[in-house]
Amino acid sequence: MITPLRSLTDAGLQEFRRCLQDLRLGDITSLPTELLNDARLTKKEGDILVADVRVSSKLDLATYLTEKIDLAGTPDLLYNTGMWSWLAVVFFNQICPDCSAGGVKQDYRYILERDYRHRHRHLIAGPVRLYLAHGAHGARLLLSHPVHVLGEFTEQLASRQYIAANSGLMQAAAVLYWDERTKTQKKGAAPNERRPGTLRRFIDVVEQFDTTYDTYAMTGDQVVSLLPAEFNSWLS
Amino acid sequence: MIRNFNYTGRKRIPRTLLDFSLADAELGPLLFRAKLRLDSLNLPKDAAVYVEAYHSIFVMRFPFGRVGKIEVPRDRLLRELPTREVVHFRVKVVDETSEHGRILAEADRITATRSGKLSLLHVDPLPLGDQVWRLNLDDLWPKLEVNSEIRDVNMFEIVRSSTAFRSLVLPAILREILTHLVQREPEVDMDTKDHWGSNWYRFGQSLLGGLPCPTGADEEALVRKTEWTEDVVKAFCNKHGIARMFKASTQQEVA
Repeated sequence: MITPLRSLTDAGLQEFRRCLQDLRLGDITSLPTELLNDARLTKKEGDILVADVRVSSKLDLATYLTEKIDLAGTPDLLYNTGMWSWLAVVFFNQICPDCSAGGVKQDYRYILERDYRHRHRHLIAGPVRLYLAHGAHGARLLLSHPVHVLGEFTEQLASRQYIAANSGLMQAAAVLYWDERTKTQKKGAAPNERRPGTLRRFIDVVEQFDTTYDTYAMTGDQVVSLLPAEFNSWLS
Repeated sequence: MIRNFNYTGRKRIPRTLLDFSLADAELGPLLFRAKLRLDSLNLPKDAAVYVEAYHSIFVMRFPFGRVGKIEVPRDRLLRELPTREVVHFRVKVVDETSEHGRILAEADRITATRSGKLSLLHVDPLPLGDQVWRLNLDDLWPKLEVNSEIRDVNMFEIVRSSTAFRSLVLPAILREILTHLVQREPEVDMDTKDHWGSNWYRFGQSLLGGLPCPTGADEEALVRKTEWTEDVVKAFCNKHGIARMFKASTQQEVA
């Protein structure tokens, strides 16, 4: 499917929210096609053509969309709730491969919320924002997953704006936890507890750096050189 | 977010030493102007000064010379930041004599006035006990004071983007400010932009398609002014879909 870029109207957003609920309840098994191009539920955003191309990772998705849409030149588009929610409709089969009750996650993964606590969790806009802020290399730790997976690194790093906005800290996390061989995060890097040297400890430590060092001006390696010895094992 | 402890002797730069303004953005990216008066802080003259403009995870950093010689960069266009969202600024004074730059002084979460379009309400985080917010109309400019001591809650973000907060609080603020004005400051000079009252009267007027607040000081006039205030609040709620916003927030809570 190739279609001009559109956005959901207020009525479209309402309908999308209702459809997500119906999917969870099992009342429908897929989204109605009206959410893609119905004149009442959507409006055209320009002549850019987008397609529901198959993407293997968030990086693929972000690369595709930033090539299609001039987001760097028009940053206001990043906050266009209707457009990102419509794109979630376009890519819905990939960001929600399981449309059963348990497969359809919270609305904010599909409908872009203005609330900063949920904005990074949007499965289309979230990766694109990280890609724009840090590039493919800088954000690789958070963009290697399939598009339907939010991931612990995204939850922990992207939810903290002072980290997600700081290239030095993002690069430092990648220096520690990125596995160049498997092209994904190292195993055991993000457990649900504060084990020495793991992601949650990293967050604790760099939070303290923030009061002392101008980390924004540092490279990832410079940040890593400040870390205590508990992180050394991740450098091998 | 867990707040940090400042064990480092880093100085806080008082807001009174900083002036930030933003030029209107109708034709493109925002342009900011900044006046920094750091002389009185007793900082090393050769320490570097940076201004960072930011919104969400997007940051633009501008070198502003040294403490002893502030140099305002020519290019201050915020190309990478949105024009319709609230942009904040931070000022950092950095000792760059060692390998890792150390922050000597900082001011953060600075909001800018918009040239020709002043911010109507300043947001000020303060310890408020068990109050979440209150309006302060005793200062030079109306302030929405928000509780700075609610752990793990960023009140700036709540004020800016929480649909629950905005739908419940903003109409109340508008009503309180206009009621204060019509009852206590009925003689505001509408030709000046330096008095906050004239800006709020104009704001109300614009919501009613240009209908000005009724004049007069007798009881009948006060009734008409109260009706005008209520009409403004109603128009504000209509314009911003406040009921819909509130409904959406309750649905999010239930979900």
